[in-house]
Amino acid sequence: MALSKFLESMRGEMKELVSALKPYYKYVSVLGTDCSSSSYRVDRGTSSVSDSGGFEGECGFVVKVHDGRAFGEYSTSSIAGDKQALAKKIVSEIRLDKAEGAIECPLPEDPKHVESYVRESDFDKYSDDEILAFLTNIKDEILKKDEKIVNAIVILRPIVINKLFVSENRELDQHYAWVNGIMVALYRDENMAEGWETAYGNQMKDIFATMPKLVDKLVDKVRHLANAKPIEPGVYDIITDSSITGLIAHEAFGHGVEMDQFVKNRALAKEYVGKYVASPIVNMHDGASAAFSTASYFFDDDGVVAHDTQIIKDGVLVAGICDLTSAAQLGTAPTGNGRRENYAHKAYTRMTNTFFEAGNDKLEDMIKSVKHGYMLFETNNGMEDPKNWQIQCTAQYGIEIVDGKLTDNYVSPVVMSGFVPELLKSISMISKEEFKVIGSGSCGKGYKEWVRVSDGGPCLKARCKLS
Amino acid sequence: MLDVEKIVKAKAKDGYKILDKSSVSHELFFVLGKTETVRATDTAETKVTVYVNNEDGTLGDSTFPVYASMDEEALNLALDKALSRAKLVHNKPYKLVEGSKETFELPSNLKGLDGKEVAKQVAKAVFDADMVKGGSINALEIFVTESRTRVRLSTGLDKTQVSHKISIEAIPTHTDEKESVELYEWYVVTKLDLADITREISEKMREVKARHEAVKGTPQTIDVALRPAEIMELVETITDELSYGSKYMDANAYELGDDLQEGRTGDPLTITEKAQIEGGSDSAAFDADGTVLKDRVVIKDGKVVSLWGTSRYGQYIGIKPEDISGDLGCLSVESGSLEKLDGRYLEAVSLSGIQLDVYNDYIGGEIRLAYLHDGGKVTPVTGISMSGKLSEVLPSLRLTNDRVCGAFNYEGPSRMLLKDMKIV
Repeated sequence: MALSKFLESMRGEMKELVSALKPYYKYVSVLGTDCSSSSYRVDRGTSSVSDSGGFEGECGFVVKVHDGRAFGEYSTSSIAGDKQALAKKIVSEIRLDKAEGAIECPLPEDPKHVESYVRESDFDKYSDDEILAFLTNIKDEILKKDEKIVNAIVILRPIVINKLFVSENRELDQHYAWVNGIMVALYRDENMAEGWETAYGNQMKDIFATMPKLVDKLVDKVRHLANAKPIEPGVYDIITDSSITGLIAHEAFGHGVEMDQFVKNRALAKEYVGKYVASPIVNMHDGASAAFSTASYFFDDDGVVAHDTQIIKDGVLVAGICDLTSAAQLGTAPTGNGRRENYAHKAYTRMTNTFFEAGNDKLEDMIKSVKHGYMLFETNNGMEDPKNWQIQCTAQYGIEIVDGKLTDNYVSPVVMSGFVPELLKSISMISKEEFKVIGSGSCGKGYKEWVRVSDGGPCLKARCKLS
Repeated sequence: MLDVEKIVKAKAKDGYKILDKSSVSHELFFVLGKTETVRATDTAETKVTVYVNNEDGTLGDSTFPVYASMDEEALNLALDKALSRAKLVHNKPYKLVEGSKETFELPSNLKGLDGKEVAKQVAKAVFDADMVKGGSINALEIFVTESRTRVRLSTGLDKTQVSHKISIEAIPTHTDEKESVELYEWYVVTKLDLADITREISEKMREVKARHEAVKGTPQTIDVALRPAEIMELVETITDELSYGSKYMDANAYELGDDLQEGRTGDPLTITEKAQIEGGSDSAAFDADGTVLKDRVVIKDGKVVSLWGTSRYGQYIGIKPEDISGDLGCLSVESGSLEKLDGRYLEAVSLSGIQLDVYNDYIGGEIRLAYLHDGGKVTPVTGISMSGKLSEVLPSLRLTNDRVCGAFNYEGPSRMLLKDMKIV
């Protein structure tokens, strides 16, 4: 497979539009998107298979221009027809009067680059009925494990991304795919509980191999969650699983190094570049090419190729991540982190695959070192505060550790809060085992602008306020 | 321009739904008070759902998007694929919504105004706010949007709705030589009222100054007063459990007749799911199935008295089609008995987001700014988290006797007092 036929057919028209806009602007680019998002879903009483829109299924174009002072963008579902007329309409719609106070920043760089990127997947080998039958089997397996499981919901969500970027000097296209599998069990006893497991990858065969193996784990977990108690609020030693490590990397620190926040004086991290922000054993990365997961694109939505950015090196903040617009204002190079929810939205600096590097400790020793605390599992949600570095990260559940041993006492939910550097500096052990960069997540900026992201890392031992 | 309905109608003999959504927006993005980006959008998307009556008596359906780029051949290919997929789906049958051709224009004074000019006026209104010494708006995004939604069904229903809104994301900031702090403001209105915008932002500037002056809160057990944004989150989480879909899927934490305020010592809680409230940006005349929306009291004096939701799941649990509420987007809470809040309590001004878990009986959240009221003295506090049990909070909650309306798609009392929350 290669770039979608539709975008291939629009290549010439996109170039024409760039040419038609060049007399008006010093920098012009056009991004074309043709992305499909499907959903296969079964539960106890219903099933469905559809192609959906939303923030992932999209087909349209966004024009980005720079007039020597500031930026303009125009999103449209179609660029068909007279390009001169469309160019005039765009100029009129996004005109910035000279009298208006605007930023003044240099033009973005537009280095010569023509390339096609393709990452093959095997989605075409699986028919709709094969996928539905697979999901139905898993649903039935979950339901028959325990009569107190009142419903099981099993979902596959494949996405296929096609993007074509054209500017005066660049012509880049990419085609790749990703699939998330989600299984949810609803358990009804004296209390209700909901548990889930996820599988993800760019090959359907991997999802087909992984999901059935997660059924027993899901059932065991949801039984425990039905008996989970609230945690006694307080400050505890914690051990994080990959998901919670990722949540800390992403929510507690990642948002704070998105450099569009530097431009707006919204990030405390700006003042900490070159300084210790974490324990000296901490190393952290972000980048579409830093790990292979859901955000592993080849170029971003401003046509900047994927990077691997080391954010924290031995506890010191060394770099942030940056989109094209912010890089122009900051006089730095973009890091391939300019992402849009879809073609109708602005590009912002966004995280991609964000994770901590492995350490030197055995997980077993880390648990043994805790007198009384909790091992925390599975991201529920989180909220950033890049200016003030307050954190709120919610784990789906925790398991109490007493005298160096995991008990059978589950607590749920668990909200971690506090001051980011305090948490990062409290990291005293990092596991050396292989870790996950979990590819089933999505992330907003503030309360909007959703994009798919991954995060993860090894188990961390830290100290944190839990409630 | 393709005649989508003509092509779909020719093949989808057992039924179809066509949902068109289009919007035009004008957007301004400011960095440190200066325009960084001027944006405009003109987008449209159509989703087609086809239905198939299977031989075993079940109903199949499948949905696909129709993009502006599609030609007739592409549309036919997508349609054929959806019809094949629908045959793989064997769901309990339900009736599509019946209705006539109608057009609704939701109330707004934005109709006919030039979105570009409105965006500029809104920006001026924001920057006209009283910045207070040390205050600034470090980032501002303004979206002026006109949206059009049309639902067409094979039953002959054809409903169109036009709505307008202004969305503002502002970052009020307070800075001195020692530190700089900010708050996050997401504000959506359906009416252009520049003075109101200036008033709202001025209030946020005073609040961010308070965050700057705030002292670290101390662990204690204390009553916490919520504001409309968090009241809305709380009641919305509860009413989500009362949807026809939750009930059908056995995912509902509450049942009809449950008393959420058993042993009540506080004000009675009465919640109505509403189609429209004044200023509510999710106000609507009909939902995506074409169901004309009907207000529904779901909780009366703490007891679950009704469910609400979409046509399909309503029919699945035995609700008569004419009694189905539709997918309602606004909430109303009856006011309570509190003339005013007094004594010692925390007024939560800014939370990271209230955390609610109805299965685990949990309510909590990280408080970024609260006012500690103690008699007449008010002290801004920060760096604390609250938590409590929902089953203890609901019976004892108190509600003020005033009314606010519009923001967050909420109407009701301006404050909800949660008793005895744990603060750490």
